[in-house]
Amino acid sequence: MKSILIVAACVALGLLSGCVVQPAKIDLAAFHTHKPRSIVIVSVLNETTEISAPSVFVSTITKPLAERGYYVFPVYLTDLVLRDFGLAEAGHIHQLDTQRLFELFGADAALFITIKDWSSKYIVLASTVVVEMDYELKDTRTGTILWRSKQQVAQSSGGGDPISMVISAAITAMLADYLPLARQANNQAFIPPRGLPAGPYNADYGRDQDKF
Amino acid sequence: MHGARWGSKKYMKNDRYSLGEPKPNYSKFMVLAVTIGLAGCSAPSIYHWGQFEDGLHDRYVSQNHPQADAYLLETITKAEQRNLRIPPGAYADYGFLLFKRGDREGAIAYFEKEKHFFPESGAFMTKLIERVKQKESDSAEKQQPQAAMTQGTQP
Repeated sequence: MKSILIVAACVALGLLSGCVVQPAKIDLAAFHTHKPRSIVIVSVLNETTEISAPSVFVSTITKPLAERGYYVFPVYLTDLVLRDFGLAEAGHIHQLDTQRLFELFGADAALFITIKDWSSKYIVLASTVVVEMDYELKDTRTGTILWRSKQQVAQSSGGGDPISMVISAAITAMLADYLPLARQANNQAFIPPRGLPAGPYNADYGRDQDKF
Repeated sequence: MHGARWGSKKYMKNDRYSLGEPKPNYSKFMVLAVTIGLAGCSAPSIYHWGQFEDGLHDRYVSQNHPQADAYLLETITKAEQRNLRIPPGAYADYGFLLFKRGDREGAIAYFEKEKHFFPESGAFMTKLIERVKQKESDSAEKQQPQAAMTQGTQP
């Protein structure tokens, strides 16, 4: 019970720190011109050696984006349809004319995600789990970039007396759970001040321009 | 980011040293920290998600489709019972599930539901419905030689 609370507290602290970061404002002029209502998330491009990264990541992306107020196309069905049209490779899909995605799905915008880092490093006494993603939202009809974000989340464990450090670092490296880190990266990417303006299903729609 | 790092270090350390000693006051602080953490960041949910994300994880990572299907149905059923909003894509996913099971009418009905609640899905749902109907007429033509194949159509 207690360990659950501790984990939960860590997550909560992580969330808090996610809210506090206040980097430079981003240019949303193109975004406000096109006002996308729906977003299709295409196959995630993996630039790491961890082959399971896109499969693990993909379960975390629909919810935060839908909660921002956008219609998010069902990711699994999207994948199947793209495969049906011979588009199984993420690298290929990311190079595709975005107009094609408009024809196939009727989506206003397409989200292209690239996983840049997804690793756990275990160095004797400490271990670090890292995820890093690039997010790029494009207007499907014109290919214009509407919004982009780059997020890295790292979590280290270790510290204290040498024996407990070794054990804790080894356990973290072995059980590296990327999901909470991926979720935190998504939250940092989508939630103000650096995030994505609210979409039509969010109560803040059209009223949150001062938050960015 | 830094919060998570220092936070975990601090609390893990504390856990390790206490070795199971009950420290009720500390637990209360945790609960408080969690509550503040959650309240500070998350607005109330627009949708009822249930175990939607676990379902996707099952589909992509464990390839456990029966479990994923069960989670999907659970999300839809609970949301409907409690009159909560269904997440985007859930009706469409369920429609596809019915299609795989050979229930073409059910599939079309759920694709229509998705379109009704989320007009943004209209073009996509219309295409899916057309394809389901196309399969229907295809299999009607081939019914004589391939009657046994009509169940369990794969995408």
